[in-house]
Amino acid sequence: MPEQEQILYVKTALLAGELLIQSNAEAYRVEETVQHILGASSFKNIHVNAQTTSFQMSVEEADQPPITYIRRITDRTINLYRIHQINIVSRGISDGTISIEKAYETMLAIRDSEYSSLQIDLATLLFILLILLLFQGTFTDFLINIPIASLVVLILKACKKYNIQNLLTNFISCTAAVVCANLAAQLLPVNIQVDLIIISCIMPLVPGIAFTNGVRDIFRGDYASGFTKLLESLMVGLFIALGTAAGLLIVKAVSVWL
Amino acid sequence: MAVVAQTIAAALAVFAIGAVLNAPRKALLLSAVIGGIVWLIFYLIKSEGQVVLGTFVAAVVTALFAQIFARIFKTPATVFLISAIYLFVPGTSIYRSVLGLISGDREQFIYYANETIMIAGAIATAVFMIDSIFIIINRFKKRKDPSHE
Repeated sequence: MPEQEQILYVKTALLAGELLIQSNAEAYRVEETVQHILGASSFKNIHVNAQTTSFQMSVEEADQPPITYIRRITDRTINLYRIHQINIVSRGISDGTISIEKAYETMLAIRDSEYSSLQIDLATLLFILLILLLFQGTFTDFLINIPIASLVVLILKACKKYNIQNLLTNFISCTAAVVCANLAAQLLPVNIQVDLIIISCIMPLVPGIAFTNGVRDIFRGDYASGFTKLLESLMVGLFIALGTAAGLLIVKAVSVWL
Repeated sequence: MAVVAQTIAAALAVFAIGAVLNAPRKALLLSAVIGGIVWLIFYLIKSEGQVVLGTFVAAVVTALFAQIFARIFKTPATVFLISAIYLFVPGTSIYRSVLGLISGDREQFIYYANETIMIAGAIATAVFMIDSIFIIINRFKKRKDPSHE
């Protein structure tokens, strides 16, 4: 196999691994996809090790010492569209239906999203409002929640735009939800369930998927990446709770002043 | 009547969260259908006071649908699974347990931490069970790359 082609295999595999971890794919999926891509090349002794924050792969060519590549991954958000597209490319490579040149080009051109940011914001808003209904909110709760949920969505959008760290984003939006819900309960002459409104607003943020995927990884025997995910979900939960505490303090101060 | 409203709301919620998680367009509607059906199952079992059992059964059905659709539409099962299962993940319990922890309410912390572990365990066991069954089926079919779904 010509050297040019081997380099392309390595580049495609590295890119696939990096994108998959950034999309919060499970550890086994990253390892298997990279194995599949490299399996179509003439490399021998392929080893892949995917962690939640990095991954390594090692390949060997006949009569050559093994070479190891490492990628460090810092940002991770669930992105099902990318997982879906990378799966198509890696299937194509291992079935032999697309050439490695074409595969590398496709991999480079993978887009982040099928939806505009406005569509995603509206979907987030809709999700918050529907969760309130699912958790037995009343119609009054629903109406009061519309402005509060819109504010949370705006905060999420602003934090994304100014590249604010994930944990801090959770803290800020949770504080805002707690303050608004409590003030609405105190100032407006209606009966609302403050607890439910707060929970519905933080539902898009809660680390349930990370927690569940962590337990799944542990079940499969990927202890290291499993525990990393559990710790991640604990940290996210901690910052959401800290945001709640800060919000409650603000509410207390404001109601004294009122 | 409430049951119908809950089912429709659950389907729409799964549709919305699917878009937030960037699920492919063609997967959105299917995930929404799965979401509606499993929420109905969960709702009925939950009314009997069995939250963990309800979550387990709902997760089994979700994983089963996700694996079947993954094979029909040649896309990873995760794409259907993550959005449909989002409604059941123990986010509320994690939040309430950590809130108990920082406000010094030990009883609340222990109760909700326990609930979190039970629910996450139920979901993980259900998904793992269905995954394993499909891996065994694939071995029997002797496919070239069973792990690719």
